[in-house]
Amino acid sequence: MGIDPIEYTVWKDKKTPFRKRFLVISEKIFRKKLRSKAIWILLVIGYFLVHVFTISSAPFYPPEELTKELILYGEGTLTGEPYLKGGLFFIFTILLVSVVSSDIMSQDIRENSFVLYFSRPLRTVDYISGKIFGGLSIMSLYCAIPPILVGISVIATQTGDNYLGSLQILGLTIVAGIFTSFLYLPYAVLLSSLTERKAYSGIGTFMTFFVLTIVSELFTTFDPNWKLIGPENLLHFSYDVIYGIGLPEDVNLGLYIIAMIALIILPLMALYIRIRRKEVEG
Amino acid sequence: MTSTVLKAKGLSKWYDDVIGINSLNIEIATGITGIVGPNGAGKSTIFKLATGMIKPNKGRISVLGEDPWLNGPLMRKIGFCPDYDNLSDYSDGKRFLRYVGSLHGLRDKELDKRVSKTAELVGAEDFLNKDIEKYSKGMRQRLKLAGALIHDPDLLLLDEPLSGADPEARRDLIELIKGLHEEKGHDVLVSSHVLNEIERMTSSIALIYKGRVIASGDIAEIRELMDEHPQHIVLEGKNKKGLVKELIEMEQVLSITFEEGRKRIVIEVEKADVFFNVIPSLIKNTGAEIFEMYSMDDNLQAVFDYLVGGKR
Amino acid sequence: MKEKESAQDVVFMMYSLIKETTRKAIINKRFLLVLLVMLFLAGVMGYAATQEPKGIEEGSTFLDILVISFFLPLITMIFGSSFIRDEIDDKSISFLLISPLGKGKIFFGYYISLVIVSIIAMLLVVSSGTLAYFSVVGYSSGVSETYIYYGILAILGSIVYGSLFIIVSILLERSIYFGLFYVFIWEGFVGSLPGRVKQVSIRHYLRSIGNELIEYGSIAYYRDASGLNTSIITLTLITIVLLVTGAIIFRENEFP
Repeated sequence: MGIDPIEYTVWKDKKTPFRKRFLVISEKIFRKKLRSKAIWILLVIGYFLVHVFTISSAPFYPPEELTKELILYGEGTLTGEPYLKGGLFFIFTILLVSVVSSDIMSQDIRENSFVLYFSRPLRTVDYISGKIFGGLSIMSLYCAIPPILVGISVIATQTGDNYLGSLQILGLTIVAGIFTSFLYLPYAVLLSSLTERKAYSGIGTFMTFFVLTIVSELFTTFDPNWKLIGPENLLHFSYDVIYGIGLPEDVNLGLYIIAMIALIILPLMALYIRIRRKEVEG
Repeated sequence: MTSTVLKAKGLSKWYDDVIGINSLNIEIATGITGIVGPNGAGKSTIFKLATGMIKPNKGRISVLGEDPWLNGPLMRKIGFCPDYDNLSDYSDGKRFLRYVGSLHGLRDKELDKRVSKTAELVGAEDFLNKDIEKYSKGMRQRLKLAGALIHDPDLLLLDEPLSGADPEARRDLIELIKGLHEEKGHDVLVSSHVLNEIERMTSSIALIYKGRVIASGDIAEIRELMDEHPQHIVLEGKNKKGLVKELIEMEQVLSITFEEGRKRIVIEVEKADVFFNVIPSLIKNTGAEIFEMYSMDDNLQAVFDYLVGGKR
Repeated sequence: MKEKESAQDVVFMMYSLIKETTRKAIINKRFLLVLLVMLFLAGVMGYAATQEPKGIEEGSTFLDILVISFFLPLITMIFGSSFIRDEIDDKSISFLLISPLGKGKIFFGYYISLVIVSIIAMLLVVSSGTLAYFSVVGYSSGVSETYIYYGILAILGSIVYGSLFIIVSILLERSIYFGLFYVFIWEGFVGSLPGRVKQVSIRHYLRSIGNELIEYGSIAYYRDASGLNTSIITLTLITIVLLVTGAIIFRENEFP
C-alpha cells in the first residue's frame, strides 16, 4: 500500500499580483457585508433619516449653486437641517462602523483563520489594508456616495452659472466622504482584532465613540480643547480643514493633530503589532 | 400505571425546509427501549417533542398518557438527559445538582439526600465538588444523567448518553442504564446510533430512519429479518485451507473471496444463524487458527440499507 | 391528569431560578463592565468636581446626562439582551424547560433576575458618580435627597427598560443591535424632536418623574415633562404590556 502522496499540483493559472492581493480580502468582505441584514437595515434607516430628504430636496427647491454650507449645514435645502455636520449623520456613521467592523477580524480569531491567511503569500500590511479597504467600501455606501449624490443633484438643478465652483465643492465632498468612511475604521478594526466575540467588538466601538462624544460635550464648558476628545468634533473640524474653512479659533492645531494621530495612526500601529504577534503565535 | 410510556401517531415536525420527523407512528412500552438510527434520523427531535421543547407540526404525541406541550406538571415524571452539553461552567457538580433538584421542588434535607443518592448512583461522588469546567466528557455525561435522575422520575429520556465517552465509561454507563430499570424501576427511552451499544442495554428497539420508524420490536426479530438477507462474514487467521474446502461445500455459503494475500477471507452467506452455529466446529475440525471473525453487515447502516430496501 | 404545583412549591422553584440566574450574571465577566463604568464615571465626575462651575446643579446634570440618559438604558440593554439569549444559545435553558415551572413563570423568573442585577449595577454606578463628585465639591443640603432620587430613577428605569430588552432578547438573535438602535437612535432622535413626539420614549417619562422629584440640574429644568401621575401610569402600563406580551411569546416559543 505505502503512504499516499499528498495530492498537490502547482497552480498554473493566472495569479493575483502581490500588490492587488489585499483587494481579494476586501472584495470578500464587501460581498459578505452586503448579505448582512443588520447592514441593510442600518443603511435603509440611515438613508431614510439622514440622506433622502437632502438628496431629493434639490429638484423641488433648487439652490443657486453647490456650496460647502449646503453640504455641511444643509443651508438652502428643504429641511434646512445640518447635513454632514448633523448629529444623526454621525450617530449612523459610528453605528455602521461598529456593525461593519464587529466581525472583520474577530471572526478570524475565533475560527483561527489567521493561520490560513498567513499560510499564503500575503503580507501583514496586505491583510490589514484588505480588511480596512473592505470596511471602507461598505462605509462609503453611507458616508461617501449619498453626499456625492446630493452634490450631483444640486449641480443638475442649480439656478446659477458657477458650475466650476460647484464642481470644486463636489470634489471636496468626494474627499470628505472617503475621509468619513475611513476615519473611525482603524480603531474599530483594532477592537475587532482584540476579541473573539463580535458583540464585544461592535458594542465596544460604539460605546467608546459615544462616551467620548458625551464627555467631550460635558467638559467643553471647562476648556474648549476638550472638544478634541469628541470623535464627532474631530470629524467636523476635519471637514472645516477639507473645505478650507480652517479650525475654529478656540481649537489648538497641535492638539488637533495629536487627536487625529490618536484616532488613526496609533490604532493602525497597534493593529499591525497585534497581527504580527498573531502570525507568530499562529 | 400505564403500560405505554410514549405514543406518537402521525407525528411530523419540520424545521423550515428540513424534515425532522415524518408521519411517525410509535408506541413505546414500559422497560428500556432503544431508539436507534443514524445521525440526522430524527432521534433528538422525538426527545424534544417528548419534553415539550418543540411542538408537532402534525400528529400527536403523548408521554405517560399526557400531551407534553406546555405541560409543566408532567415534567415531574420525566427526566431528560440531552445529547448536547449544556452544563454551566460557572458551577461545580454539587451546585448544579442542587439547582436542578430545586427546580423540581426538592429542598432542605430531601434535596441533600437526593443529591448524594443520585451522585452515588451514577458514580459521581468523587468529582461532585470539582468545577464542571475541569470535567472529562465521561464525567459530564454522568452529571447530566444525575441531573435527569435527581427528582426520581418515572420515565428517563436519554438522548445519546454514551456519545463522546471513552470505552470504559461507555461500559459503565451501559451497566448503569440497565440498572436504572432493573434495580430502580425507571422506564428508559435511550437513543444511540450504535446498534450494539443499545443491544447491550435492551432487546426492545425502534429503528428510525429519515424521520420514520422503519422497524420496531425485539432485536432478535430484527436480526432474524437480517439473517434472511445475505451477509458478508470476514475471517482472518492462518491454516484456513481445510476450512475453506469445508465452507465451499456448505449450502448456506454463496461465495468466498480472498483478500490481503489470502490472510483474510470474505464469505457471503445466507441464513447467517445456521452458519454461525456450524462455524465453531468446522474451525476446530479443520485445525484452522482464526484470530478474528466478524460480519461486515452487522452495523447499523447495513440494517437500514436492508430494511429500506437499499433505497437511500 | 395534570397535577398543579402548590403555590409554595412554585415560589420555591422561582426563588431557585432567580437566585441561580442572578448569581451567574454577577460572576459573569460581563459584570466587569459595571466596574469599568463605575471607574469611568468616578473619573469623569471627579475631574468635573475640580473645575468651575461646580455645585449640586452641575453634579445633578452629570447624573442626569451620564446615568439616566446613557448608562441606565445601556447597562440594562447589555444584561437584558444576554439574559435569556445566552441560555437559549448554549442550551442551558433546557434544565428550566424540563422543570415543572412552566414557561410563563420561567420568563418572569428571568425578568426578576434581570431587574435585580440591573438595580445592583445601577445603584453602584449612581453611588460611584455621586461619591466622586460630592466628596470633592463638598456635601450641601439637597445632596442626599438628590442621590436617593437618582437611585429611585435607576430602580424604576431598570424595571421598565428590563421589560423592553428582555422581550427583544427572545424575539431577536441579535437583540443588542436593536438595543443600540433604540437607546441611541430612537431615544436620542425622538428625544431631540420638538412637540409631543418625544413622549414615545421611556427616557421621557423617567426624566419627567425626575423633574418632579429632583430640584437641581438639567432634569429639574426639563421643559417638556409630563405630569408625575401620567408618567408613573404610562411606565407601569408599558412594563405590564411588555411583560405579558413577552410571557405569551416565550410560552409559544420552541427551543429546538
